[in-house]
Amino acid sequence: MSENINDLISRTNSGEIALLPTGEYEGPIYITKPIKLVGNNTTLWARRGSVIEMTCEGAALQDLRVELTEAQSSQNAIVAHGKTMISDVEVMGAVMGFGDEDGYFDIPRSIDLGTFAAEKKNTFIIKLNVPVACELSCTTAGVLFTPSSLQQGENLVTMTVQGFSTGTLLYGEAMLRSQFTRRIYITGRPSAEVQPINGKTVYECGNEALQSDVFSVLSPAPSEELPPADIRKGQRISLYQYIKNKCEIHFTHSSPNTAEIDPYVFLLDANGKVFGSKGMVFFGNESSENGSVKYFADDGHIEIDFEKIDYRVDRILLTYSLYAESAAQSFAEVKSPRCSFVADGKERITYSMYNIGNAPTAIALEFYNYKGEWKVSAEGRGYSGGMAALCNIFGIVADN
Amino acid sequence: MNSGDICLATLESGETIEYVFDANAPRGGMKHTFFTPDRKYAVQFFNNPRDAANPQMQDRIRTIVSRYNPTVSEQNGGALGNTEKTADYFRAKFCWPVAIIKSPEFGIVCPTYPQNFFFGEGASAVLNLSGKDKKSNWFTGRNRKYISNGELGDFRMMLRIAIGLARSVRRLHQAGLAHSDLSCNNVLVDPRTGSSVVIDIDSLVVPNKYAPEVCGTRGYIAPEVLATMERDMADPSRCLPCVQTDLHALPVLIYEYLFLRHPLIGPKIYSADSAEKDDFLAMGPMATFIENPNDNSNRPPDLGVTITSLSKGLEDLFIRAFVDGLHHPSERPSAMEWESELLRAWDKLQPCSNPACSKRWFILRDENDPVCPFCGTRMRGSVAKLSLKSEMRGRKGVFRDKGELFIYDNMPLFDWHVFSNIHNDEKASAEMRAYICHRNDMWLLVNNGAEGMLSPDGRLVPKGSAIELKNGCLFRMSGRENGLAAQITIT
Repeated sequence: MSENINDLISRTNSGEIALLPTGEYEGPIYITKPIKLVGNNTTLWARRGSVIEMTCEGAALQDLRVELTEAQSSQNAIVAHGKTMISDVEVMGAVMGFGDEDGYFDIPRSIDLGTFAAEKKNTFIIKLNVPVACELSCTTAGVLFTPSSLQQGENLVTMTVQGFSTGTLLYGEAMLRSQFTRRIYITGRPSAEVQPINGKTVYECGNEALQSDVFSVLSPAPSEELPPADIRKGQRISLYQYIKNKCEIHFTHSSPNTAEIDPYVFLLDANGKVFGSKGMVFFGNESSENGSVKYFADDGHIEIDFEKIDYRVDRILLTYSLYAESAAQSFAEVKSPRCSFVADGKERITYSMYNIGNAPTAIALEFYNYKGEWKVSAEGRGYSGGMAALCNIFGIVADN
Repeated sequence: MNSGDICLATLESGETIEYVFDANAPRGGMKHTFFTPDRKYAVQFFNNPRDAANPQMQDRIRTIVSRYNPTVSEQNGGALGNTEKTADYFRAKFCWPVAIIKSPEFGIVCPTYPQNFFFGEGASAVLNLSGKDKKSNWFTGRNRKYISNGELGDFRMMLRIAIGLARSVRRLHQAGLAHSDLSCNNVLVDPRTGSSVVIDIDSLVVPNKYAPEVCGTRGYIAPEVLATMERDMADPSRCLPCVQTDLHALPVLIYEYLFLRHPLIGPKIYSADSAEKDDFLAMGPMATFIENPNDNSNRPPDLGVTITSLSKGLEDLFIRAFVDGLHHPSERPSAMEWESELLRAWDKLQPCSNPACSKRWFILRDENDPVCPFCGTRMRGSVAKLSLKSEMRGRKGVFRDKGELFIYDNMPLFDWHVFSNIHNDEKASAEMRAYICHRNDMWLLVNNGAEGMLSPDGRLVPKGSAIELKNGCLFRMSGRENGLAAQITIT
């Protein structure tokens, strides 16, 4: 996502405003010319390293949240190598290039008050150390800080918490404002069962910088495996929900037992011609060039590895043809012809072909690549011209 | 005309539609059906020309196709307040008539049911089911044992069917309509995907406007309708199908989906005089819930899993429907109550630790006693509960309980788990915003697109990042407006 924001910045001329879209965008963001970056409920973030770096004089940041997600709170989130205007910028992490503001803020990110007396007045002590004078306030009614104006250095602040009903949860936000804004979350559970808290210390400065409890994950998101699909003539479906990369296709029929039916697979290019010298896979050529499509002579099944298919292959046609001296001369005599797709040992897609018609050759399935994704179309139509004629169409000269 | 001939029908809009004439067209109680050549639509005409000519009936169907139609957006002449998105949603849930035919005679055009509501080859090794529609009694009745395992789904999918149906009925009732003939025949189900579709919409009742024309189907007719069926139509004491009778049929179907048995069919003999009289009393004036806690007279000895193994909320609704409300229609829970209580139960689902359990999922009622009620297997590992809390209106920073979920490995979370103002309904986005993983005995929450998610320490959790859910930890599903807070309890 950072490319988008950096692209937006690079398109913005010096002295102009770059209006950022709403949302969360990963940095780092680089500003090399005096422009004004204005957010609209925008958060810029980075796991570690700085989120925004400004290498010029006179840039400006406005209405932004800038957060380091996995780095220690003492790491720099914003780095300025020249004078920069700041207005309404909230930061999680340190800053550099802003004078006294660069110093270490010994403040918590969140304070858990634990259980406290519902309805009644409770007081807590927090000891903060700030490098510049700040104003401290809370957006939750019933939480007050005294004093609310902090001096540079150590400050002992009394937090008064009162008027919360039992059974609710306090999850408030305190804002510490200097040139930047820093947020402190305050949580606690009001209870009718406990006595009012009086002067309990809940944060004391002198702490190391805060570690993060957020981490990156690499495992893929779960997806629900769909039950096997039973497709019908004319239907088109996406394969990825059923088949990860590789599948076997088995052909069965109920009668006549002695009918000899062989698969012929055509790998076709964008011009509708067979791709390469081994682009027709059948008993006479058991594998395509790179093994993406294979024929297995033992039981006559076909295997397609969609990951391996050459990018120049546009579609794959799976056809079946009756052997000339077979017991059946046309698919009209073949009962219950059915294709079964097996992946990882499980039947994932089935296709029962009806009404193929009076033809010796059947175009069963067409696999096609649509916007980078493999789909299958249930064709199930007879081709009365036979296999040799079909080969001719695809640019192969066949001698029956 | 011969079978296979292509005929032309003219719609009221003036457009024409082709259909294939079939001398053996499927014939229902009211209508017979032809199909368009692409079989995408059914073209239906009335068996009795007098029905077709009835101006009242014509007028009713006209209203159903337009003003009351939840499958068309308001903008395109459909139901009030319906958006394109909700219309899309309900198009999959109802087989709603789309047009009216004016010639050769009055009739209607309906979409055909989606393919997954028909059995394919291999659905049963014993019965010839190929091409038959998936009426729910195939799955809940005595034929279940003949259906192949791949068709049967699991308990979670049956619960999903129940949710979908409750939502569809809620939508009908919201629009002021009553289905009037909800039954296993008029709700097709696909347990493989947990989907349902309500069919035969044209018998809908528009309360105070058009009287019902059907009484219903045995087993689903409300007791008060059956009890007064012999009385004259004009007799004000005769009970006719209406919203409240739908609210009897709906829980009968839900009960069948969840328990694979009928809630009123038990061992009790109501009359020794005749089978007809016994049946009349059993389904009508004397009907008794087989799980009635105050009356064991109809309770089968081998009941197995009962409503007490569902969530407390669902148990209460079944008691209201089949004990308090069985003979007092006004006591019956509304479809909306069913929908929200079923959704609450959905959040309590846990996978059974027994890989051979046929139900695979169960509703965890007591986290201190995590046992699958179907196979008796105790859950392995810890039970982790996520309590969601929403910010009180006008009290920034103060949250109260909103709901609970039991989590499991690979559990997806959606907008309604992130924001308090989004509900799990037809308007919500189906995009997964986060998910739970269980790795190395740790529960992890992974952000998949929930904006403003905060870790227990208050750090931003961007998309693709995760936090560990430790016992007692508190965090925000989103720190944005209406974002929920959440707390985890592991036992």
